[in-house]
Amino acid sequence: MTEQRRKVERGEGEYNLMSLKILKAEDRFIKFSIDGITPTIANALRRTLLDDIPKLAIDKVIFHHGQIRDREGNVYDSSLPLFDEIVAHRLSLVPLVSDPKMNFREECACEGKGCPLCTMSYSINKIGPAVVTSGDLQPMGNPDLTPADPDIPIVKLGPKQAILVTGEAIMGRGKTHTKWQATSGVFYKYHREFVVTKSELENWTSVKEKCPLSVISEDSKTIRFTDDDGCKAVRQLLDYPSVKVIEDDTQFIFQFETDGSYKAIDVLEYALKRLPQRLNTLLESLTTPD
Amino acid sequence: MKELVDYFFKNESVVSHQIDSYNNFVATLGNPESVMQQIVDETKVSDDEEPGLMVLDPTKTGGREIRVYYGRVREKGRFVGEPTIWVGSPEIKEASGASNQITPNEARLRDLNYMAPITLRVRVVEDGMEKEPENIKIGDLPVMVRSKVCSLTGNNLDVYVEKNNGPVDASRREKLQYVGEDPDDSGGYFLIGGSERVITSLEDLAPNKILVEFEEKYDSKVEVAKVFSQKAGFRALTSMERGNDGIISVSIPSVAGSIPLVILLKALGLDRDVDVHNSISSNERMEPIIYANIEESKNPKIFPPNGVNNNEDAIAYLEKRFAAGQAKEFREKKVSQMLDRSLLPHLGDRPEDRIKKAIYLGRMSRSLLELHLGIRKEDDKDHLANKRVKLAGDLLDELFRNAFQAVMKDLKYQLERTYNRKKGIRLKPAVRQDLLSQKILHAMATGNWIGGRTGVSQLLDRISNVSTLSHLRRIISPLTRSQPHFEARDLHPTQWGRICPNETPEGQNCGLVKNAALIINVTEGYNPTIVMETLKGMDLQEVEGENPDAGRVYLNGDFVGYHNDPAELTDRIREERRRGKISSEVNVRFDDSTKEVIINCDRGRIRRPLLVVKNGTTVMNSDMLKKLQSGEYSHEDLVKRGALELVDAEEEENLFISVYGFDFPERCPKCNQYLYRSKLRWLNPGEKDTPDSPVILECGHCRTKFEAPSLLTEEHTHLEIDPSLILGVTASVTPYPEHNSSPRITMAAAMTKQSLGLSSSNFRIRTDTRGHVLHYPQIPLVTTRVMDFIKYEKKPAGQNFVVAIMSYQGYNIQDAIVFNRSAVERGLGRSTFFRTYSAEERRYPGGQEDKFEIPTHDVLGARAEEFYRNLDENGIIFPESYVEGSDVLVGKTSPPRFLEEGGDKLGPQRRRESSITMRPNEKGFVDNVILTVSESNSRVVKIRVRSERIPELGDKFASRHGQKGVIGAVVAQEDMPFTEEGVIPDIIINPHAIPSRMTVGHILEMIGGKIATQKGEPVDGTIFSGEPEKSLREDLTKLGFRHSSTEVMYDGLTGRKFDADIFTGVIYYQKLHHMVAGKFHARSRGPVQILTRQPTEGRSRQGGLRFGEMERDTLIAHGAAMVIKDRLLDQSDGTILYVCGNPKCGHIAILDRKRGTPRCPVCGNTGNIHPVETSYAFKLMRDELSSLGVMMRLVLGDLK
Repeated sequence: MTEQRRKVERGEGEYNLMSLKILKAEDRFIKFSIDGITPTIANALRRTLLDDIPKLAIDKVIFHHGQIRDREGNVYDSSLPLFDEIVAHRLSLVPLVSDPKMNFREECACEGKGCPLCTMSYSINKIGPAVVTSGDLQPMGNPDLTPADPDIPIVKLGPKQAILVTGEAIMGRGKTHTKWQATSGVFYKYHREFVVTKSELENWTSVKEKCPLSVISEDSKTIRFTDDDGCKAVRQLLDYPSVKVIEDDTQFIFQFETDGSYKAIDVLEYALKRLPQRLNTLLESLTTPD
Repeated sequence: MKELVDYFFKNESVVSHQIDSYNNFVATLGNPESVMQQIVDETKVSDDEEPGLMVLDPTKTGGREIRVYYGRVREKGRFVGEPTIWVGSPEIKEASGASNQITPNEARLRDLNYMAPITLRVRVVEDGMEKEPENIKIGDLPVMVRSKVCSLTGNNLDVYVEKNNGPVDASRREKLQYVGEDPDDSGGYFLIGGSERVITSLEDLAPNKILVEFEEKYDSKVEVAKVFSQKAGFRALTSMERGNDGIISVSIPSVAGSIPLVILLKALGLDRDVDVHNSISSNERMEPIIYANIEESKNPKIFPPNGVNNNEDAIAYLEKRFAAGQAKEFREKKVSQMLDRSLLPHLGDRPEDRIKKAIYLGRMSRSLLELHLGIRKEDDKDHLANKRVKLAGDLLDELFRNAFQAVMKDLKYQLERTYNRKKGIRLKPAVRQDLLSQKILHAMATGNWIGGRTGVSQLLDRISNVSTLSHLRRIISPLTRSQPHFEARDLHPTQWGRICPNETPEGQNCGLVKNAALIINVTEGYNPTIVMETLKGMDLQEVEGENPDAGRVYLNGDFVGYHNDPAELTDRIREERRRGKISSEVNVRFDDSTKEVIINCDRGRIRRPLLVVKNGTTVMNSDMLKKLQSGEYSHEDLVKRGALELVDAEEEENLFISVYGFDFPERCPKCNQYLYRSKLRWLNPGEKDTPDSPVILECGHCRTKFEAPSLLTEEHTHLEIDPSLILGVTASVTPYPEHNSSPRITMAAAMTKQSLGLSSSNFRIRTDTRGHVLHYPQIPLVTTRVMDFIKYEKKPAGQNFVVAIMSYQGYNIQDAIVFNRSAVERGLGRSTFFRTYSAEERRYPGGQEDKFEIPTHDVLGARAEEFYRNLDENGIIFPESYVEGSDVLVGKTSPPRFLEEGGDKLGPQRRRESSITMRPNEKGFVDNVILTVSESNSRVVKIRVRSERIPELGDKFASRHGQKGVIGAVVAQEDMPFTEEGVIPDIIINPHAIPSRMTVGHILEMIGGKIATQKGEPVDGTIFSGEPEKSLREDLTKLGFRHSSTEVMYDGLTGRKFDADIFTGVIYYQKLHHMVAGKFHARSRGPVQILTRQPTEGRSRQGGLRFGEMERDTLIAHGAAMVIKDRLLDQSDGTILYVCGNPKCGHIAILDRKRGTPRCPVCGNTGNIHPVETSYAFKLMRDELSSLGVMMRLVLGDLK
């Protein structure tokens, strides 16, 4: 444990403040740094992002079996090239734009029966030959809660085949099943600097050439690189024994993407709010022995 | 020369040797030289008749001479003319009487035999009057799928589709799909009773070939010469031995003891001693031994009265020895039987052939003495030149020969029996068709071949496509598995390029069960008389007298003459063969040490293709390659032009083969990228102006041409096509195998055959009893070129996993694997398991039959109504309904078993419930219900149930490097380690799996897979020619990874960085079909066996888990007596016996029903009866003893 981290953990002096800085934010992508926390806290945030964001996902699929007729009265077969359980599994993994205000079914006023407050229904009705995609999921109810991407293929229908299904989506968390996982590519890394003494490493210029200026700070004798930007050229320096690597486990670079169910920034906000709630749950469940 | 391999597999499939063998066997109108036709020509109905003809007994035909010709006419020792036997298209005779052509899939679905009718054309000559020839059906022959008579082959398919109103204008693939077939299926198997059966190839010692070797007998070394003489399915081992006293003796099959050589030679007609001498001697050092042998035979003490001096003496000796005291007639018959039938049958069975046998025996003894004198070396039994392979066609040959003879014998009997003077003979009703069909079918269905061999036909392995292909290319040795046979199991140098060095099972069958290498050719046999004629035109001298300066010439193991310049003869034969003047089936070898020319043109030699090298370069040139590419040439054209040669193990002994044609620089001189053989093209093969003119190569990266040194010299005779061809199909699937330790490749090959994937594309309409399909099979990121040839990319069996090598909380020790739960939930490693249940409305004698229906209450043994709720009104289950343990799939009732069943009740008999239910420990959805009609016109229903198999604790996975493991933990994604790019591995394997096993290929594949994910193209890991490690490492750094392929990782549980960097990569993993869902089992109480009342055995019977001897020992050690009693008695077959307490009686008491009290039936005692707890097995023993008349009395007393 570094001296610095000990100070951070105790909240001593200049280390008692933590700061979060957003480095880059897009609709479904965010990169930010947090200084002045320990790996434990960083990890708690990471784990919250991964498995504790409520999200909508299809949990029950009802297949129509038997003949399917179109408007002209042509008869189609409901047998699909894929097994029903594979289609259901694929549907469950389709990211749906979610409303964080929706209830969990078991906490809902309908007492688990399913109501518009906790359940969202979708239907697919398509005749072959065609490729059924996530865009064919028609929301029944709130029209905003569409699939986040319309082009995810579900199943390919052959001639004389048709699909008629309804799916019920409910809110859930990633720890129950991955289909309720709103984020992906969640990671953090320690802030790291590579101190290269120019006289000791000949090919420092070649590394410098490959790197953007933002990761370099240089004086006459030494040159410092950081890989916080994800610059891959810098990573090579790990293999040279003469390069001094300084890692700071109180400064973290975070990054994640969402699957489109929410905006990345909203997920982050929710996660930061959720974190103390999680700790409170722990606190509340503590009982003192008499 | 990888291009050559590409072109080869354009026209040939990997199982074409099987199909070619069958095509060569099966008789069709267009092929008068088929093996079947030859069998028909040669078959004799009885021993003293001409082949191909049967003469009816005139005493039974009212004195008329009736001759029935079924073979072809013989002219100049060869059979000529139109074929007299041919096989039609596969068809089925329906119960209605109509015959319909069928396809393989119809046979599979309806449990039919895929067979075609055999027609025989018979000419009857009655008292010299020839009648109109008649075509009669003599039976059915099983048809090999994709052989020339199969409905799927070539034009046959078009005809079938047109006849059945199918899509006439569709492509070939669409037509195959229309008939329910997988377009990429290889064929090469049979369909017997709806199940796919393979005739595995058999390896055997070469027949009619003299093998000399030393043998240990009575602690001394003796020389032995053996020959397996084989003619027309009859096989006889003749062996010759030189004893310690120098006397040579011969043992003949079906004759007891051994016969001195000299006597046998004299009996065969070498009357004079000088003839005997000349037939043996080739070297003056042999003389004393030969003289000793002749002297011995003249010794009157041993051979009274005067010794054996001439032919008459010898015959008399044999008669006396083997038929002493019998009538003269019998004695003669016995001796002629021995000399003409049992001894060396391949040389003939007539008295005229005896002299040939004598010369042959002389030659055998010469070889024997040459071995003794050190002139000749011991023959190597394991040398492939001394082995022959029997393919499907050869094995069917044996079967058909036997069955055809039986049919013809029966026909003769029937014709004689039913002969009617007025009507003449009537052929058609006299033929018993089912005799032939049933004989063949029975052998094919059980695998019990004639000659007592078992396991010849096997159920085709359909676990994965690779296992199917491997099964079709399997070669088994008939040596017993229990004996060591160390030499036979060893890899022999001659197996190079013919038999896969790695693909063999471990354990008792190791080295005995083999698999063919990628490109092999098995000879079909070529008429030796034609070869003989050619040889005579090449100054071959007759076998007359001894000619020690000339070289001896052998044809198919037969000594056929001398030649003054054997080396020149060998070269000439090869030249003529390359010019197409001699058949390419002929192979020749010149043995320098004995000056022998060995020519072979018989069946069953495994050959491999090699490029011919002349004057330091290949005969094949770029022009030929171009024509191959355009399809103008096939590889046979290369053979015809002498550019490509198929050589057997014998001929290969003469050759000097270069493995590579050229050397090449490490990097391309222009683009500076790493070069490897897969990335190089040889532009000027066959062009060499000066001895050191270079090879021109083209870089596969930048298409630059550059010069490289040639590795071919003037001495080279041949060039290897590609060294990767030494492996078989299964071992070829592993990338970088040359970096692995050899046993691991063997293990990988064994495991690839158990991997789940897409085994056939028509799996949804197949009705295999068991089957698996992987949900998301992927093409491997690190490929081998061989995968293109076996169409692996169309039938993959695995997925690319992101793998980290590190320990994880001890959950991956001992080869366990830690799985990422999120990956599993996203579909990693998911598969579906199928099981097909089938039911038939069977008919019983007496007009009763089974019926599919929902059993009503009055049916004996009917279940409660809710068990039948998923069935429709016909008693058959609805598709997509959920079923589990013991649910009814088909409601069925059967007629009462015995007429008297039902006891004393009168009235109509009750039908029995005989529904088909799910297996007790399985569940799933009904996938498909197929209702069809069997051959006997009864309804058959087949129900396929599917269940999803999601990876769970204990499921088995393996990479392609023999690295197998079971799931040790399924860990939540957030608890898994992650990299600085957010990558979380799919699985974590333990680092201890690597160093001691030396599977460096595993590491290289991980790196290669990692690169492939970034580059977006597969990495070539073909053996000997794939991308080298240096190139991979360079690519890693170019793509921004570290050259070690390690990554900084953080612990998902604590959030801290790991001190060590973790090796990660992407590697192809296979899900093996050993899954917990099919194995887990527990029981507390359950069914017991009727006889012993002990718990049943096995999971399928909900059996108990055996508490064995060793488990019992632990309890004894603990002194836990009550636990032992509980396990062995209370929870097993404990019963209460009522024993008569009368100390003089001690019998078992019975419960008197009328009085309700126990009573001893022996002594009548009713009061003094006590319950005794014993095991039921004890009671059984008591009963059995009493049945033997042994009375066991149980004398009771109180415990003290």
